[in-house]
Amino acid sequence: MKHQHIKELIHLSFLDELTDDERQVLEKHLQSCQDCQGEHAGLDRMHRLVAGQKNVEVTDELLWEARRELRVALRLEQMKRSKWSELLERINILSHPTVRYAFAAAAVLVIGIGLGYLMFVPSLPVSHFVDTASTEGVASQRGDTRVSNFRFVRQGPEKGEVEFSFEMVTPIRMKGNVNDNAVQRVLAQALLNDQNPGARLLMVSTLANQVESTRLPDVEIKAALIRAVRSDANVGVRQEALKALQKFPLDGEIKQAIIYVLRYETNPSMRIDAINYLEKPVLAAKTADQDILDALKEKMQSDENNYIRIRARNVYEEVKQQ
Amino acid sequence: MSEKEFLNNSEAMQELDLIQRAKRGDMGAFEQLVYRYDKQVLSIAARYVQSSEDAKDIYQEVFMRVHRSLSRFQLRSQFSTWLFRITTNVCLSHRSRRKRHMHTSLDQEADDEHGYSLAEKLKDGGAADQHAESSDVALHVQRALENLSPKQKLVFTMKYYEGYKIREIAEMLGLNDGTVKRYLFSATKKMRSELKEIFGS
Repeated sequence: MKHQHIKELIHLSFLDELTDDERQVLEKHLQSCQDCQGEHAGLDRMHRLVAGQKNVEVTDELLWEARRELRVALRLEQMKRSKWSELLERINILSHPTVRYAFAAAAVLVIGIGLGYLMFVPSLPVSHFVDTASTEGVASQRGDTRVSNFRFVRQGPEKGEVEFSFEMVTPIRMKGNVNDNAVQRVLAQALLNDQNPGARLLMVSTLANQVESTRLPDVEIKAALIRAVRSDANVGVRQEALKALQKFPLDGEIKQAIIYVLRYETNPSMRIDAINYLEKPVLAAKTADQDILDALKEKMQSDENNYIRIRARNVYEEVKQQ
Repeated sequence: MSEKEFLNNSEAMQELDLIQRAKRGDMGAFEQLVYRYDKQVLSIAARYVQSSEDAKDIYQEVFMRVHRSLSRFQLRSQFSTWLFRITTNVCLSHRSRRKRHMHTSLDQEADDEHGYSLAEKLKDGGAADQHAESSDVALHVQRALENLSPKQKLVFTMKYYEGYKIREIAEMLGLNDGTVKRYLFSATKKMRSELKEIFGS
């Protein structure tokens, strides 16, 4: 224990941290203790080696250089800081209570106006909708317009210019004669768009029953019926559409639609209807239409239905004999 | 009041005035404050890193930190205490960045110049006194210093080369006297052990 304490004193003696009393104690002990003398000698040697270490000298020149470099670094930092502080000062204005309350009040006002506008804005005007009210004998009544699926497309380069898309639904109740062209056009549009096959069937049946064969078909109605006969998913709708088309005089578009049915329709009853329809005008015209002949020939050779093959052959040969 | 006390008080008042002005952004006052202590800062750094370039880096880093955080300095301690604590912190972090590089470069230098490591050379080289007189002594003392922990090295260099009292070092590092003594004794023991391997007992 004593040696441990003395060794600590030896260390401290080399660090010049001994009191006079401690120094006396150490000197006295060292005179009689060889072990501690060895410790002292070892440390003395180590201290001489360390003290002989050539240190970096802090000259005036080195100090001057360090000061000069520090001045440059401080100036650079001050330049950077002045830009930042300018920006921060502007931001810090917002932290002032008065300004903060003013901003909050303005924000509440803007939100209130926005909400009020959304809640009480009048219905948007209907600009691209078929207005049938002006048609003679047809009365329509509009319900409330609903705007949905609003999408902001872009903001134009000119001030205030914007572009957006939306869906507008206005329920309309219409009353009129099915022979009225306006009513028929609405029905034709609905035939193309309505998702309910029952509703489509009703529409096309109504059209089929009321179409007058003496009148030239309306372009939109004819297009809707042709599209229905070619591609409606419901066979009943296709059949009714074919029935309606048969009431129109044969023209190029209707002829192609009937030939399409003959060639590609999966329902054999409709293919037979198509042959029956084509037979009459071809025989009446006493001239052979090459497109019809080709379709009949194809069917008499390859249709899977025996009756259709026979029926197609009969019509084909009859036409050929003319 | 004695003349010495009066002067001390006067110095303290002057320093306080400089600190207050520097806190308000007066660069002239900041420079005067720097010039009061910067030689000591540079000296501590130079002893610690043994390189004038690194010492200048530390010096600059210390005073940049002081400049950035002076506005937050609340005079709860003496300015010098705060400054030297920053200095020791910068030294400690600087050493940790350079440690690996330093070891590598020492080894490389030895290998490149002599074809074999310095330790091998010294083992083969004969009497310790011969080496003590050569420039390799400085290299080995430096290497032994580098093998100390950052705090051991800082305490050791501040004590041995700068001559600070244990109490002063403790204040700068924010430690108590006993802890500083322990760092000193352990550093001395390690240095002695490393140098003994090379130079013999």
